Amino acid sequence: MNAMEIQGRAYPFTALVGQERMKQALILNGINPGLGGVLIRGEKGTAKSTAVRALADLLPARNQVKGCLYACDPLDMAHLCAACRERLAAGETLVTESGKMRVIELPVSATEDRVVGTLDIEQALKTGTKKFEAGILAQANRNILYVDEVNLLEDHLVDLLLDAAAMGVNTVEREGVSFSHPARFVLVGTMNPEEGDLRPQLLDRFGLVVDVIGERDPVLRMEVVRRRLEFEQDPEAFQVRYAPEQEKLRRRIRAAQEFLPYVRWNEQILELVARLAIHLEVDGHRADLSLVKTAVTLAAYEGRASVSVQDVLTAAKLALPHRMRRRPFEEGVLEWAEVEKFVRQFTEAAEERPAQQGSVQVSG
Amino acid sequence: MKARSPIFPFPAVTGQESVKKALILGVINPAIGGVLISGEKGTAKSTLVRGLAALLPDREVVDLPLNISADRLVGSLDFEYAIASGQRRFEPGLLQRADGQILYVDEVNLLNEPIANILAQAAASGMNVVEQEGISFLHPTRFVLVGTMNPEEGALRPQLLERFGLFVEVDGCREAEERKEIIRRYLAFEADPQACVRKWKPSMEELSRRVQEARTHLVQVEVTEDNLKLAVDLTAAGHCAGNRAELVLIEAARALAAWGGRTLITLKDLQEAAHLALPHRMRTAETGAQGTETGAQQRPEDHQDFGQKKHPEERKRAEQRNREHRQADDPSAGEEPEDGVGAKYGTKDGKSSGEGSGNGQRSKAAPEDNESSEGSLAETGSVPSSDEGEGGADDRSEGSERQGRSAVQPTWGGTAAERIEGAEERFAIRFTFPPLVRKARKGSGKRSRTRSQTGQGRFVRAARPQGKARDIALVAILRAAASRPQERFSREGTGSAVKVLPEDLREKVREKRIGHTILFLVDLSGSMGVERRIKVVKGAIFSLLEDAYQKRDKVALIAFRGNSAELILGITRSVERARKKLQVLPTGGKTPLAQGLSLSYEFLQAARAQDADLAPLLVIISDGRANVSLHGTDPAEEALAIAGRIGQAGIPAWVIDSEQGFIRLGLALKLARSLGGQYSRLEDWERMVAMSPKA
Repeated sequence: MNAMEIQGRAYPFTALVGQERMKQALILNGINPGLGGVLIRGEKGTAKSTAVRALADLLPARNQVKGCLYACDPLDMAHLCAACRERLAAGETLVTESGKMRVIELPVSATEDRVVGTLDIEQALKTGTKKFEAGILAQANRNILYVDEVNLLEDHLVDLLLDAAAMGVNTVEREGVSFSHPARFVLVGTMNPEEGDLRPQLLDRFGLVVDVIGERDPVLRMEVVRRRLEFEQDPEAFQVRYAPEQEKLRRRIRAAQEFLPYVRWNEQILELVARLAIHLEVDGHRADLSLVKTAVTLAAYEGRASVSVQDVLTAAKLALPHRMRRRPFEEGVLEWAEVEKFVRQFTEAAEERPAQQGSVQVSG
Repeated sequence: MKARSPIFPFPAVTGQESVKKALILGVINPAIGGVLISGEKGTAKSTLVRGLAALLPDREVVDLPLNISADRLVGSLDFEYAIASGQRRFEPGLLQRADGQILYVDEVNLLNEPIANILAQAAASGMNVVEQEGISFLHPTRFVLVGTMNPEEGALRPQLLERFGLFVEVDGCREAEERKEIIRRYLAFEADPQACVRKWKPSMEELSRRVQEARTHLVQVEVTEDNLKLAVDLTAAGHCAGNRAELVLIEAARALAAWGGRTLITLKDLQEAAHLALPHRMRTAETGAQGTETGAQQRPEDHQDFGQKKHPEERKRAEQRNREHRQADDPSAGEEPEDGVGAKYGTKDGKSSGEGSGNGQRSKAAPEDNESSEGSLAETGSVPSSDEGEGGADDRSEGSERQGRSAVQPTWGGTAAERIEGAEERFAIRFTFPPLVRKARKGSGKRSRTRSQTGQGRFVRAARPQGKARDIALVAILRAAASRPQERFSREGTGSAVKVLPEDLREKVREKRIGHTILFLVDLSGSMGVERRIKVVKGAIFSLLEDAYQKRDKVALIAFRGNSAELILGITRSVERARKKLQVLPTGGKTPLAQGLSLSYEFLQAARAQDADLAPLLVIISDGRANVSLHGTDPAEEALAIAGRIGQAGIPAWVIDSEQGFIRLGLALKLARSLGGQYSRLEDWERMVAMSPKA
C-alpha cells in the first residue's frame, strides 16, 4: 500500500467527543461524494485531522475494477480510465472486486511531480521507453483527498488541484508524457485560519465548511482527555470497545447511501434555495447546488423521503458560510440571524398560498 | 489516451447568452482570434467551452493544463524513438495537436510566464518554431484560442490578453426562476448524464447545423467601404491601440452576418461586434490606461459614441442591484451622483487593483497619474521573447523606469480612482505601491523566478546545471544523450538503455512565485496622534495591505512610540490579521525612530537568513522627527545612520512622509535619501482624497 495512505490504528470516529457539526459534515460527504468535500477551519488541537482520518474506517465498501489503478467503477461507463475502456473495447469483461473508499493524503510539501504524476524514471532508464507514473491525484480517484494545512499549500499546487477538481480529470502534459486519467475525489481540507487565508477559488471548491472551536465545557474537556489516554494506552481494546457503535454508524451511512436516490424535493424547496442565494448575493451558482444536495443528503441520513425546510436551514449552515460575497479584507460572515429570518418569512408567505406540488427526483 | 466524461449539453446552459454567442462566433470565424471569458466562480464558464466541441463534428477541444511544461507545448526530440532507432525524430507537442482545433486554457490568468509567452507568440504568428537539441522543426499552428478566468485570482498578462479576439464577462443570474432552472437541469444531469445528453440531442443537432451553415456561409459575406469606415470610427471612439481592434471587429461582424444568414454586414452587426471585440482593448482618453489589470471591466457603453446601449431593462436592473449592494456596505452611498459610472464599474468586485479601471475620479487623478500612462507604453510593445527573465509580473515597470530615474521622487500609485467602502478608515482613492517601488522590490530582492534548490515550484524547462545538479531533469538528459551521435553500445550488463555522459546532465528550472515580504514600520508617536491624522495613516496602510493581498505578499508590522519599538505582527500571509492588529493600536508619546529602524533591520536580516528567497520591502510611515536616542547621541543622526545600513544591506525601502503644516523640516526626505529608497508624501494622497467627490 502506498505511504500516502492513512492506515494503522485509527482513533474511532464514534469516540470523538463533541464537534457535532464537523462530524455531520464528514458523514454527509461519506454518504454522498457529490457534495464536494468539506473544509474544516479551526485552531490547533481540535481533533480536525483525527476526525478526517477516522472517517476512512466508516466508509462502506463499494465495487471497483480489479487491478485498476484508479479503482474505476465498473458500472460507471462515463468515468472509466483509458485502460479499462481499452479492455472493454477489446471484448474483455472487467472483473469486479469489493474495495473501500480510502483517505489519500496530499502533504503540503508534495512536489508537482508527485501530485500530477510524471515519467516513470526506472522504465525510461532501463528500457528507454516512456511510461506514465501515476501521482497522488490518480490514487485519489473515487477516494477522499485530504490536505492538512490546506492554506499553506503552495500556489502552483493549488492551481493543479483546481484544474483537476474542475473537470474530475487530471490531464498531464509534461516531461515527455501526455496522459489523462479520471480524478474525481472528495476534497477534504483542514486549516488554522491564523496561519493565512485560502484562495477564493479553492475555497469555492469545497462544498461545505465548518468552523470548529475547542470544547469549553470542562466535563467534556475531561472526557476528551480521558478517552485519548485510554486509546494511547491500549488502542486495540479501545477500538473493540467502540466497535459496536462504529458498526451502527457504518450501517446507517450505508442505508442512507441506498436511500439517497429516492429522496425528493418539491418546488417550494427549490424556490427557497434560489431566493436565499439571491438574497445573500452569493457568488455564482455552486452555492445553490450545494445547498440542495446537502439538504437531500441530510434527509437521506435522517431516513426521510422528502426534503424539509429545516433540512435547507441546516444545509445552509454548512454550505453557505464561505460563499458570501466578500471583499479581500472583510470576512464573509454569514449573518445567521438573517438567514433564519429570511427562511421564516419565506415559509410564512408560502403557507398563505397553497404549495405547488411537484416532485423531482435527485441523486448525488 | 483521453479520459472522456459526458459533457453538459451546450444549449442546456441557462442564460449566459453573450458567452454562447461569442463562442459560436469564435468557431464560425477563426480569424477573430478566439474568446476570453472572465467572471466569478461557478458560472458555467468551462461547462460552455467543453460543450462547444460537441457542436462541431470536425473540431475537438484540446486542453492546455496548467501543469504543462514547455517541451510538451512546443514539442521536442522523441527520446524513445532516438534510443530505439538511433535517429532523431520530432515529437509534436500540444501546439501541433491544436492546429485546426480549439485550444482551451482554463484559469488562463494562472499560466506561468514562459508558457504564456510561447502561447502568445504562437497565437500571433500561427507558426510553431522549434530549435533545440539538434532538431529544428517548424509547423503551422492555427487554433481558436479560448480562455476562461476568474479575475479575483489576478490579471491576465497583457501580451496574452491582446491575443484574444473577443472578451465576455459572465455573472451569476439574479432571477429566481432562472436559478431554479439551473439547479433543476444541473441536478438532472448529475443524476443521469446520458439521459440528459439524449434529451438535448435535438437542440444540439439544430444548433450544430446552424453553426455549420454559418461557417460555409462566411466566405460570401462582403465587407464594404462603409463597414470599414464605421469599424475605424468605433475603435477610435474606444481609444483602442493598434490596428488589430478594427480587424477583429470586422471579422466578428462578418461572423455575425453569416450567423444571421446575411451577405452584408449591418450597422447592428458592427455594434454588437464592438461589444465583444473592444472592451479589453479600450483605453480611456484621459489616462490612456487600459483595463488589463482589472480584467477589462469597462464596457463600450461607457462611451456615448456607441450607438447601442445595453437593454434598458437590464441596465436599470444592474444599476439597481449595484445601488443595493453599495447601500448595504456603505451608509453614505445614497449621496452618490447619479451618473456615477465609476460606481458602476469601479467597485464591481472591489478587487481590481485600481490601475485603469478608474472612471469616477479619473479626470482629477489624471495629472498625477504616472502609472496608468506607463501601462499603455508597455502594452503596445511586441510580444516579448519566450525566455526573458524579467517583466511579466510587472509589465509596467519598464515604462515607469523610463519616466523617473532619480531615486527620490514623489511617485503615486494611488492614482486609479476607486472607491473603497466598508471600514471607516477607507478612502475614496486607493493608495497602492507605486511602480518604482515595485520595481525596486523586484530588482534588488530575489526575482520571482528562482532556480529552486528544494524541488519546489513549477517545472518550467530544463537547462545545463550551474554547479552541482540537484534537481535533475531526466527527460532532458535522455534527449541530450539520445541526440548525441553516439556509438551504439552493448546494452547487456549495463542495465541501461542509453549511455549518458556528464555533458548530458540537465537540471530542472523551476518557477516559484515569491510574493514580497513587506514590513510596515509605523510611527505612532504623539505627532501622529491627532485623531484625523492617524485615520489617514491607517487608511493608507489598509489600502497598501489590500494591494499586498492581491500580489500575495506577506506582511509584518512594527510600530514605535514612547521609548521603544515593538513587533506587533510577525510575518504572516493573513493580511486580515494585520488589519485587525492595526485597528486597535494606540498612539502618543515621543518618536523613537532609531529604535524602530533598528528593530526593522534586525527583523528583516533575520528573516532573510531564514529564507534565502525572501524579497523584503520596508515601508516606513513617519514624519521623521526622531527625538529618542538609542545610544545617547543625537537621535536624528542615529536614525540616519541606521537607515544607511539598511540601504547598504540592499533592503528596498519606501518612506511615506506624514509631515504636514506650514513649517516643514523635510526630515523624512532625508531619511529616504539615507535609505536610498523611494519617497512619497501622504499629503498628496490626502489632497486627492479631498478632491474626490465623496470626500
